[in-house]
Amino acid sequence: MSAPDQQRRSGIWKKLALAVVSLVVALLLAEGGMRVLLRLRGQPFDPDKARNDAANAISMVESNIPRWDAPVEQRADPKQVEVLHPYYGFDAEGYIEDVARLVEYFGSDRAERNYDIAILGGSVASIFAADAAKSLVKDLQADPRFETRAIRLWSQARGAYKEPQHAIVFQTLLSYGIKFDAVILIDGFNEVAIGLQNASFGASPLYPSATKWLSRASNPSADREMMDLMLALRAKQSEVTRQARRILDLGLYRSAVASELALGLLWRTRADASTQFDKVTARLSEGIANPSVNGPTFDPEQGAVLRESVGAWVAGSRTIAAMCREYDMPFVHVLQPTLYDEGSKKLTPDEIEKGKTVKEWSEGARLGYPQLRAAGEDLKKRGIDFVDASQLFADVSETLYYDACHFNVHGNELLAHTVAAGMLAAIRHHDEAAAHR
Amino acid sequence: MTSAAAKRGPLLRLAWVSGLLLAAFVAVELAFRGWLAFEKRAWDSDATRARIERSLAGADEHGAKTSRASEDAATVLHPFFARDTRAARKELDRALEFTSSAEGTLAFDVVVFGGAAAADFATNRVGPLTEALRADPRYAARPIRVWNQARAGFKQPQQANALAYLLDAGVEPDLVLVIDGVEDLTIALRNGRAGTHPVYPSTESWGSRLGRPLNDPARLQAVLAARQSEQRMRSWARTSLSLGLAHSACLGTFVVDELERRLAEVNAAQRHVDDVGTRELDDRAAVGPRHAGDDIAIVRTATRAWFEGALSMWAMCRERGIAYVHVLETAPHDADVALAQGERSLAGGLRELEKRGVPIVDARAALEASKTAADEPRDLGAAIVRAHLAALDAGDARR
Repeated sequence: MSAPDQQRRSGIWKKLALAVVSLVVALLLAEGGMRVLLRLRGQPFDPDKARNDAANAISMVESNIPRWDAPVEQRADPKQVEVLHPYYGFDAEGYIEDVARLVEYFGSDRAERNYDIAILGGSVASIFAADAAKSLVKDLQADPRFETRAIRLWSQARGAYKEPQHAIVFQTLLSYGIKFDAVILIDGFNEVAIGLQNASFGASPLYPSATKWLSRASNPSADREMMDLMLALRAKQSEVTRQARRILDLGLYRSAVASELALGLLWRTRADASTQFDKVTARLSEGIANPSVNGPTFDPEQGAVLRESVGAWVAGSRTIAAMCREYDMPFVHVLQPTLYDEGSKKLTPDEIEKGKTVKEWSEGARLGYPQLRAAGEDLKKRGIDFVDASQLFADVSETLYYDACHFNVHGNELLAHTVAAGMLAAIRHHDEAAAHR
Repeated sequence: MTSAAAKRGPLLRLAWVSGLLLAAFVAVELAFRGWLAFEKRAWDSDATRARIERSLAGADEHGAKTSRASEDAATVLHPFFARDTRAARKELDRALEFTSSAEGTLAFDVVVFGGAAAADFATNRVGPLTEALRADPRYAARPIRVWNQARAGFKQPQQANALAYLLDAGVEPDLVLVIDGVEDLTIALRNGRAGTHPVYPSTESWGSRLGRPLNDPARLQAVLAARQSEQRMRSWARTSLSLGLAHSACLGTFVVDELERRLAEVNAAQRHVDDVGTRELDDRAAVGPRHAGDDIAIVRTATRAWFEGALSMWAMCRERGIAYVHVLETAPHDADVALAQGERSLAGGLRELEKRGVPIVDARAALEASKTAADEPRDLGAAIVRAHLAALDAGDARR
C-alpha cells in the first residue's frame, strides 16, 4: 500500500473518529443541556420516574388495576382475563380459580392459627393490599394482641368494584365457607364516580361499572359498529404498549433527551387511545344491542344519581357490618382519599396532568365526597367503625397520585397507618362488645 | 216413512249415542272417584290444578300467574344473581315506587325470596298468610302487600344477594320471608355432578348461557332439544288448565300422568345439556372454581351455602329492624341417597339457625296436619305468622 493511500485512509478514520466523538459530545451536551433545562423548569430529570411512567402506560391499557410500577414482563395472567361472573357482574378467571385454594386454606389448621384479614373494595383497595401490606401488618403487630399471632391479608378487592359488589363478594365468600378474622373495606370513589358514569350511559348507578359490565353482558358481537370501535381502540392500546415496551427494553428512560422524545410520542399515542376510548363510551351511551342489561329504571338527574350511589354505599357498609357482627369479625370501613375531592390535597403539576379524566369521574368525586363524609358520620352513629381518610393527604405537597384516583407506595403507606389505627380501634370495640354479651 | 221422519232418524241416533257416552263417562267418573275414595286418595281437583300450575311456574322460571305473559318470562342476565326475569324487574320497580309513596309507608310489606315454591307461594297461595296476619290486632288496620322476589331455580347465595341488592336499591320491607331448601340441594347436586361448582347458579341458567352454545353444534342441539321438551310440557299444562280437565278425576289423572312423563323428558333433556356442558370444564367463567365431584362433598358445600346465606340474610334484616322468617321447604320423596342426606343436613342447619335466634318454620312439621293439598297454604301461612309474632313478642323485630 502506498503512503498517500495510507494517509488517505488514516484521514478517513480520523474524520470518522472525530464525527463519532463530536456526536457523543453533542449528545452529552444535549443530555446535559436537557437536564439543566428540566432542572430550571423545576422538574429535574428522574430516570426512575421515566421508567415508571412507561411501565404505568402499559399498565393503564393492559391491566384491570393500573399500577404505577407495573411489571415489564408481559405474561398471560389469568387475573387480567375478565369474564362475566354470576354474582359479581364480572371477575377475572384467576380470582375464580383462587376460590378453591381459599376454601382449602380456610378449612385448615393454618387458618385457625393465623389472623386472617380480608380487604374489600375497588382498585385502590387492591393496590393498597399489595403496596401497604408490610406497613399495615407492622403497625398491627405492634399491638400486644398480635405478638404471637401471624397476620395474613387477603385482598378480595377488584378493579372498578363498588357497592353492592363489596357486600356481595363478602356474602358469597361466606357461602363458600371462607371466614376471616376481620374485614377492612376501603372504598368511596367508585361509588360516586362510576355511579355517575353509569347513569350517563343509561345504566343503573347500582349496576357494576358499565364499561366493564355492558361490554360483556350486552353481547357486543351483535353490534358491528361497536365491534369496529372496540377493535380500533384495541389497536391503539396495543401501540401504546409497543412504544412503552420499547422505552423499557432499550433503556431509553435512562436518558433525559431520549425520554423526552419517546415519552412525548407515547403521550400522544396514549391521547389517541383515550380519544378512541371516549368514542366507545359515547357509543355505549347511545344504546346497546341488549338494553335489558342496563338494570332497573332510575332518575337520571345528577343529584338523584349521587343520592342513590351514596345510599348504596351506606347500605353496603351496613350489610357488611351486620354480617361481621353475626360472624364475630371486627370490621373497619375506610373512605379513601381521592384527587378530585376539593381541598383534599395540594396537587402537583404532574398530578394535574396525569389526573385528567372523564367529567363524570371528576364531578362524581367533587360532588359526591361531601355526601359520603356526611353519610360516614351516620355510619359511626350506627356503631360502625368508620374512618374518614379523605383528608389524609391534605398537607402532603409531593406527588402521590399517578392518575385520577390511584396513589403510589408512599400514599399507600400513609394510608396504612390510618387503616391500622382504625382496625385496632374496631378490634377494641369488638372485644368490648363481646365482653358485654 | 216420511222425509221428515227420515231426517230425524240420524239426529235421534246421534243424540242417543251422545247421551249414552255422557252417561258412561259420568258412570266411569263416579266409579273412579269411588275407587279413589276407597283407596283413601279422594280426588282433589284444586290440588291437581295447583300441581299443574306449579309445573308451569317451574318451567317458566317464575310464578305461575306471570308465566302466561311470555314477554315477562324472558330471562336477562343479572350482575348479582346471574339471571332475572322482566316480570321480577317490573316488580322491583313497583316496589321502589310503592315504598317511597305515602301508601307505602302505611303498608306492611312482605318480600318473599327463594326458588320455585317460594315464587308459587308469593304469587298464588299467599292469601291465607295475609289473612292470618290480619287476625292479629297489630296488622288489622294496615294494608298488607306481598312482593315476589323469588325465582324458580334460585338457590343460595342468590337469595342473599337478591336481598343485599334490594336493600342497596333502597327497599326496606317489614318482613323478609325466605322459603327454600329443595333447589339448594337439587341444583347443587346437578351442578356438582356435571362439573359445575355447587355454589354457582344452575348450569342451565348460567353455564349454558355463558357457554357460547352457538360455537358447539352438539351443545346447541342439546339446548334446543331441552327447550322443545320444555315447550311440549308447558303446552300440555296450559291446555289442561284452560279446558279445566282437573275437575274430572279420570281426565285429571290422565293429565297428571302425562305431565309427569313430559316433566321427566324435560329433566332428561336438561341432564343431557349438562352432560354436553361438562366437556368445557376448563371454562371457569361457566363452571366456577374447582370442586370435588363426590356427592358427600357436594351436599356439604350446598348445605353450608344454604346455612350461611340464611344467617347473612337474617343479619342484614336484624341490622335494619326488619322481621325475618325462614321456611325450610318439604322435599319431594326421592330415591336419591345424597338428596336424602342433604335434607337431614338442612334440618340440622335449621335447628342451628333456631338456636341462634332466627325465626324458622319447618314446613314438613307445619304441614303435618294438612289433610289435603288445598289446606297447605293455610297451614303454612299460619305457621309463618306464628313464627313472626313470636319473634315480634320476643323483641327481635322492630315492627
